[in-house]
Amino acid sequence: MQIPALYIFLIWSAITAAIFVYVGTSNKNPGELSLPVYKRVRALLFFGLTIAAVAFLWLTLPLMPYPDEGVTPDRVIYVSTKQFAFKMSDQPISREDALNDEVFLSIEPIKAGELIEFRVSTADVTHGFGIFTPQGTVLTQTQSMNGYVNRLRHRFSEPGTYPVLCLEFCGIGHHTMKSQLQVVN
Amino acid sequence: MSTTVSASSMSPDSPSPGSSSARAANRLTIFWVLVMLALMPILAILGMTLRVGQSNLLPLLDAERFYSIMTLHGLGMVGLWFVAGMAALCALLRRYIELRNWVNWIAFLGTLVGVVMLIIATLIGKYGPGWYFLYPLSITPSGVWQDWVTYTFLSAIAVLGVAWTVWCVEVMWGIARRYTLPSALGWHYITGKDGPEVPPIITITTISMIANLIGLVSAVVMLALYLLELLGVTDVSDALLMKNLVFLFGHILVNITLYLGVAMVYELLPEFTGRTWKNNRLISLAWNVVLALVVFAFFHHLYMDFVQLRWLHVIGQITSYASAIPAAVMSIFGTLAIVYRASTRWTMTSLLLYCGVLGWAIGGIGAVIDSTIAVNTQFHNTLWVPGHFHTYFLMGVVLMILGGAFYLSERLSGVPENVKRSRLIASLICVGGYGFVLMFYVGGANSVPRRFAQYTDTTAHGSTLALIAVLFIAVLLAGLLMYVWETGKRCAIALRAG
Repeated sequence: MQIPALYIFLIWSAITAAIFVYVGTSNKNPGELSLPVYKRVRALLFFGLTIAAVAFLWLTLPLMPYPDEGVTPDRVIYVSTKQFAFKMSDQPISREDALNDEVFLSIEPIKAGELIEFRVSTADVTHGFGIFTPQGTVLTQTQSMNGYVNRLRHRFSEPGTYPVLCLEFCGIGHHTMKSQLQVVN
Repeated sequence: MSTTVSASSMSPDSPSPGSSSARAANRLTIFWVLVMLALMPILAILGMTLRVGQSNLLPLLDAERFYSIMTLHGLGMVGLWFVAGMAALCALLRRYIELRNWVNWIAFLGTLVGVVMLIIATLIGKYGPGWYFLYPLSITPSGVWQDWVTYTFLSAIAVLGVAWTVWCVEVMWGIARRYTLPSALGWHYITGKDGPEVPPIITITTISMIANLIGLVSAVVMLALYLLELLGVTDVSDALLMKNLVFLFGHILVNITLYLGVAMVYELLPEFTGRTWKNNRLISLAWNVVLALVVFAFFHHLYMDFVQLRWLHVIGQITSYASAIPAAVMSIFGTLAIVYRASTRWTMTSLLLYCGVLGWAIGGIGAVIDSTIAVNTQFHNTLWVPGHFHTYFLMGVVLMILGGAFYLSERLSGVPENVKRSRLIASLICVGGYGFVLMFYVGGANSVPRRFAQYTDTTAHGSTLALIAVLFIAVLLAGLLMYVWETGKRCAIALRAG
């Protein structure tokens, strides 16, 4: 979705810039502004943008990433964050284990096609739980927030090693906070 | 063809030279502009330093220093352009209303004190939670800074908050004395009743001040919660509540800074095109709708907090989309209509105002894309965010304010401009600025996270983009420094002339 979004942005920006340049250089050919034409174009712009906004809302709101309560996930993985590491477990993680740097947890590899629910919490400050594709593109994400559990669901379609990065600034080691997920057939 | 423009031809309402109050107000305006001219290049160089660090060009920064500079750059820029916008706007508002100089002085001194405290906290104390100081990182030193630094930072926010609240109330009070608030909001235009003629700058300023007061109330609640926790009265604050409060404050502050710039466009651009831009039913209606929307659009900052009520996320997307419509239809299209086939004089002021509206429009496109929840899942906290932020801020409101500040310096000094030089400055700023922000967008589309002191492994391509960005920043900086020279010398002349 990212690259198409970039192209859409660049195309609309170029059109906008071209209109500004055209209008800005129109002082070489000065004349009166036709009020009826101005009002007609403005009305067209208003209705065009309104229709576009409603259409995009209708198209994109169903794609919200939040969990569908009517669907049961195939597997739950518990994620706890702490400056500057992720801990993941197939069992709930106690606060003591989350805070203890000597406690190392792991999960079984994820099977491609399974609907996974990540239950993401934090032991200290707010962090991001960003899952990247093996090629390095952001796949999905949520945040870990003190006192709350965010439930992120995802179905991995392909096997591979998926990097996990922190995507909320969390302190001086933020850029070093990494993990990974193994997805197998 | 002559390349100079008479300064006197652009000042239809110069204050009476015999008025000591007007002279004092002008002097303070010049002080504000000088502070802006001093801080802008420093904060810009700090921002450039961050991109230099990310590019691995020079091993300048350790992570502690990187994140404290990042905090100062962000907070400093947001605060600087708010006060610069307010100061320039106040100078223009004096055409219509009376504002007391001593209140402006309180804002000036309060801002200076607050800025010094911020500099101490970040550069000396290494305070580095980022510009929106997300709770509880903001009070979690983790061995990087000491407790006094946290108190200094929160005190700085409190000082700035008090000074700016007093300033906003003074502006609203000045407007209410002349117009009454309902008239200033243009309600008589909307309802079709008789009422005074209200310039758009008054309506936009009133909308902005009301919105900002809402944001400042949010900041007061947030600071109170910090205080209760730091004093041990409460154990911990609710992280989700604190995040909502900080973004309500921060989102409104940034947006109303933008509106201050847009108010200048409504007020000044017609002087260069020879056309009028008067208030009417649609303009008033659009800006009242903006007021209703701007206080809810901040929810788009919390899309990735899945525990937030889902309908608040939906409100965030709807209000983000909706707020783009009055902006595009009334202000951006209105700007084009004012300029189209008019005998526009392209000077430093008109060029920067016009380019500022373009930056607002382009940044708005990037922002609307990111405000789509389904897209934000991939773009949240990638370089796409500083991309659209810098486009509508640096290439939008900053250019508008620079245009307004140059207009004032020229008017107060009486020194005409060299239009060829002005066009060179605008060209350098645009080429450098758009090249700089383009690297953010390309980075965002390629999943490069923002706020990383170093890019390695999965994010290594971020370094190359940062390096290209540095080259464009150098061009941008050249344009900004030329602007500082041109405006600064006019301020110095105006000060000497008294």
